[in-house]
Amino acid sequence: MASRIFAGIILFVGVGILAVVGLGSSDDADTDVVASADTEAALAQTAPAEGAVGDAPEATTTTEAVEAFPEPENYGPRLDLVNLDGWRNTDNDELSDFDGQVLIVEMWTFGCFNCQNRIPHTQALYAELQDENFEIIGVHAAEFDFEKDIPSIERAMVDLGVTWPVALDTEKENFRAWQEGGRRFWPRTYVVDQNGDIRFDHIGEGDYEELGDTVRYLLANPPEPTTAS
Amino acid sequence: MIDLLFEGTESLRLPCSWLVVIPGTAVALGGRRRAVLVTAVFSAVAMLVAWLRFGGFWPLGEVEGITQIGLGIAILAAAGLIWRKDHAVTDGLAAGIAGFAGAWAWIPCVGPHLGDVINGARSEPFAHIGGTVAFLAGLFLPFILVAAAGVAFPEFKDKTSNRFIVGTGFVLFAIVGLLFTVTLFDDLANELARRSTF
Repeated sequence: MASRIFAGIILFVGVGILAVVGLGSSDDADTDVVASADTEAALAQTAPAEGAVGDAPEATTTTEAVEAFPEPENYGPRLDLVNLDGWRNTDNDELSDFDGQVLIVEMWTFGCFNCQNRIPHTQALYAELQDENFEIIGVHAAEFDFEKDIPSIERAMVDLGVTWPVALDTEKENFRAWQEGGRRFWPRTYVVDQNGDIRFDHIGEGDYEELGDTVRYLLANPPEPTTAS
Repeated sequence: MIDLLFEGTESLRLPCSWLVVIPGTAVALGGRRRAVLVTAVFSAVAMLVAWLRFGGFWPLGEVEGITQIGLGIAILAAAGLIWRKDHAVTDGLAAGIAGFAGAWAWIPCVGPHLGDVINGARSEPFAHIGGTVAFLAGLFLPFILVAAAGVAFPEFKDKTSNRFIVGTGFVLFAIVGLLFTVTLFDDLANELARRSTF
C-alpha cells in the first residue's frame, strides 16, 4: 500500500513537471529556434534586436567592474588550429595571425541548440568590444554529418548572425585536441590572452558575465609579454 | 536541483538526448512487468557512466569503430535474451547493457544548469553526483512515470505486459542493436537532428 502511495506521488509530481516543461516550451522564444522550419522566424527570435539582445547581459565597460574582477586563472598555452577546411569572415588563415589579441575561441556547430542560445550573448560582447584589441574565433566542429556541408554552414552563419571569423574544423580534429579525454562538449568557450594562454574555459551555456569580465580584465590588464609570444 | 530536473525534462525534445532516451524506451517497453527493475537498472548504469564522463574518469574514449560494433552485438544479444527468457536477471542485464551503451554514445546538449555540473565536476566530481542524477532523472522521467504507474495502478502494469507492447520494445531494442552493429546509430541521430533543425 505504501509503495502504491509513493508511486502515486511520483506520478503526480512527474506529470506536473512534464506539464510545466511542456507549457514553458511553448512560451519560450528561444526554444522555438531549433524546431522551427521557418528560418526567418527563427532568426527573429535568435538575433539581437538593436539595442536589446534578448536576455544578453548589458554592455558594462565600467572600470569598477574590471577592478573588482579577480585575475583570471591561467590554464596554460593554447593549442593551434590545424588541418582546417578553411576560414570564413576573415582573410587570415591561421590562428597565430590573431596573436597579441584577446581571443574568445568557441567550439560550436550550427545545429546545436545550446550553441545557438549562446550566440546573442556573443553578439552583444562583439558589438561592445569589436574596436578593442579583441577578436572572436568560432571553431565550427560538426556534430552530425549534415553540419559538415560547407554551404549549409555559411547559410547558417548568415541566418544566425555570426559575423566573427570562423574556422571550419569539419573532421573535429581541433575540437578533440583542445578538449581533454572524454570531456568533449558543444559549446565550449575559451578566452585566450595576449600571450596565447587560456584564461577562461567554460562548457555549455551560461557564465556570460564572467566571460565578459574576463575579456575586459585582460584588455585593461594585459599580461607581461613572454619570450614565447 | 529542481532546475536541473526541469532542464533534463526539457532536453527530451532535443535530438541529442534521444541517443540515450531511445535505448531507455526500448528497455522500458520490453521489460514486461518489471518496469521498476529495468528503469532502476537502466537509470543507475546510465547515471554512473555519465558521471564518470563528466568527472573525467571515463577510460574508454568515444563510441566509434570496433567499440560501436561490439556494443551493438552486446545489445542484440541482450535483446535476444529478454525475448527468449521472461526472467528478472535477463531483463536487468539487458537494461544494464542498454544504459551503458546509451550513456556512452550520448553527447548531451549542455544547457546552463548541466553546464554548471560539467564545469564543476572537473574540480569537484563528488560534489556533482547529485546534479548529474537530477538532470538524468528529468530526462528519464517518461520511464520513471511508466514504472510508477505500474506500481500505483496494477491494472496498468497488466496492460504493459501484453505481447504487443513487449514486442514493440523488443523490436526497438533490436533496431538499436542493429544500428550500433553496422555503425549507423549516430546516423539515425544525425537524421533526427537534421529534421529538427532549420
